[in-house]
Amino acid sequence: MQQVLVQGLNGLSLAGILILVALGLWFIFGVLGVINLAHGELFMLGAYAVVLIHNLTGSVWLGMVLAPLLIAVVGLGIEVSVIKRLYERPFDTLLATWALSLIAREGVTLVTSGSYQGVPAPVSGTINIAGAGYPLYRIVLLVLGVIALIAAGTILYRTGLGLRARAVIFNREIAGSLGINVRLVDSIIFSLGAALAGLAGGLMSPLITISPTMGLPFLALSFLVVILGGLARIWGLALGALIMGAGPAVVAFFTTPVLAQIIILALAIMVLRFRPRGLLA
Amino acid sequence: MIRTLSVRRHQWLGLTVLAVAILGIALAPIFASSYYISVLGEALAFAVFALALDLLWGVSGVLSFGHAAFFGIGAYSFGLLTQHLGSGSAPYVALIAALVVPAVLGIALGFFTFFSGVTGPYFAIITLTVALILSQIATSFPHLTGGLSGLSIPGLVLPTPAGELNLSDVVAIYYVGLAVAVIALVVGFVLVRAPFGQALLAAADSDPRAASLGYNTALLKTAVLAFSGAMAGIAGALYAPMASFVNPEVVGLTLSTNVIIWVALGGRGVLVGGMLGALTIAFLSSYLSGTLGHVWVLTLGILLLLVVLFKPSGLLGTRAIRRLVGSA
Repeated sequence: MQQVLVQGLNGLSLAGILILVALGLWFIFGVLGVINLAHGELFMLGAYAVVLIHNLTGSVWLGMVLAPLLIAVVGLGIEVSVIKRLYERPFDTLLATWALSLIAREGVTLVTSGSYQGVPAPVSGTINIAGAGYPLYRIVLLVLGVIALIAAGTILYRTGLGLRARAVIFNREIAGSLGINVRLVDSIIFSLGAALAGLAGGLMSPLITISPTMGLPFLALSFLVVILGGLARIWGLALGALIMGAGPAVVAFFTTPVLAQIIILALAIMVLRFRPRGLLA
Repeated sequence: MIRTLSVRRHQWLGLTVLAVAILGIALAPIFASSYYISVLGEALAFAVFALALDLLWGVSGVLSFGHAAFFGIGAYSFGLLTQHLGSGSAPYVALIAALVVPAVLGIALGFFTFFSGVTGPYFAIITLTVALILSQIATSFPHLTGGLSGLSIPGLVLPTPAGELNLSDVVAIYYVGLAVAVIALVVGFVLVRAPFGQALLAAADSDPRAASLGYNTALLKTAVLAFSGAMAGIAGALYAPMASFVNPEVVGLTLSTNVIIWVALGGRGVLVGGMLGALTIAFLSSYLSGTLGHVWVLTLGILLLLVVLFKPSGLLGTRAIRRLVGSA
C-alpha cells in the first residue's frame, strides 16, 4: 500500500513537470504551428541556469526565479533569428529546431566538459504518507504544475494577449486582417513557451542528474502530452500529463516498468489513430 | 512543379558523372586500406538508408522522424535469423525477412496514420514514438535482442551461382554493399519516373488535388512507406554483417535524426543527394568524431541550421545538379 502511494505520487509529480514543459509546447505549436524540437534543450538550459546562479549566489530559489527569465530571452532570440525566417515552412522549422537542439546539447557539453551537476532542493522536508516519509518538494512540483496550468488558462481566456493568441490559433490570416500584430504575438508566445520550459527545467534541477542530454526524454513525453490533450482546449494538457506521467506507474502494478512504458507509448499512438485531434476534441 | 519523364541530353552528362563516381568507389579497395574500406562499406549501407528516407520525404513529402525503426528492424531480423538458422541459405532467408518485416511495419503504420488523415508533424511525432518503443524493446529484452550489448553476427558464407561468397571478408561485403546501393538507386529512379512516383509527387504537391483526380492518396503514401521501410530494412541487413554486430543504436533516435541530416544536407528529392550526403558525412564522422568529438557534432548542427535557413534545397540540390542528374 505504502509503495503504491509512493509510486502514484512520483507519477503525479512527473505529471506536474510534464504540464509545465507541455504548456510551452502547446502554446508554440498552437499559435505558431511550430513543433519546437529544441524545447527539451530549453528545459535543459533552465536547469543549467539554476546551477549557474546557485554557484554564483548560493541561492537555489533565486535561480528558479531567474531561470525562466533567462530562457525567455534565449527563446526570443531563437524566434527572431530562426523561426521568423522559416514562416510557412513547417518541416524546415522541425529541422532548424533540431539543429538548435544539437547545437545546444553539444555546446553545453563542450562548455561544461560533460560533467554532471546537481543542486540541493530548496524545500527539504518530508511529509508522512501512510508511514513513509515522502519528499515535500515533489508535492510542491505537482501543485506548481497545476497552478501554472490555471494561470496559463487564465491568460488565454481572460486577457487581451490570450484573446489575440486564441484568434491566431483559430485562423492566422483572419486574425492578421483584423489588425492583430501576428508577428508580435508569435514572438511573445515563443518566449513565453521558452520561459515555461526554463521554469520546468529549473524546478526539476534538484531531482535529476543535470546533463546536456537531460531534455530529450522530456521532449518526446511532453509532445505526446500535447497530442493527447489536443489543441482545442488547454485543460486537455492535464489529462495528457496524467496519462503520460502517472500512466506508467499505474500500469507497472500489473507488469514490469519497461513494459508499462511501452504500453503507454503504444496507447498514445492508438489514441492518435482514433482521436487525431486529442482526447477532449 | 512541372517534371518531365524523358531523359534529356544534359542528363546523360549527369549519368556519366555518376558512373565515374561509382567507378571510383568500385576501385577504392585497390588503393585504400581495409580500415577505410570497412568504414566506406558502412557508409554505403547508410547511403541506401538515406535513399529510402528520401523516397518517402523528398518525393512524397512525408517526414519520418523515426526511420531507424525500419533500419533497425531489418538489422535485428537479419541478425536474429542468421544466428538461429545457421549457415547455408540462411542469409537469403534473413535478407527476405529484413525486407518483409519492415514493409509490414510500414503498412501497419500507414493504416494507423494516413488512413485516418494523420500527416505532417503528427506523423513525424508518431514515427519518433515508434522508434522510441523499438529501442526500448531492443534494450530491455536481453534474452531476445542481446540488450545493450546487442547481437553479434556470425561469419557468414553466402552460396551464390558463381561460388561461395565470404561475408566476413571486408572487400567482399564492400562490393555487396556497392551493388545494393547501385541497384537501390536504379530502383529509386525507376520508381520516381513510374506512374506511381508521379502520383506521389502530385500528392506531395497537393493532397486534396491528387485525391480529386481520383488517386487514393492514403494508399499511395502507405505503399511508399512500406517500400521505403523495406529499403531501409535492406540497408540494415547490409549494415549488420559489416559492423559484425547489431545493438540498440541502430533503432534509436540518433540514427533516425542522423539520416534526416544526411538527406537535408545532401538535398531532398534529389535521390543522389541524400546518398552522397550519407556517404560523405558517415565517412567523415567515423574518424572526425574520434579526433574532434563534440566539436564535430556541433559543426554538423551549425551546418544543418545554416543549410535550412539559407539553402533549404540542400547542398547538392542546386538547379544545375538537379538538371544534371535529372531526378525527382
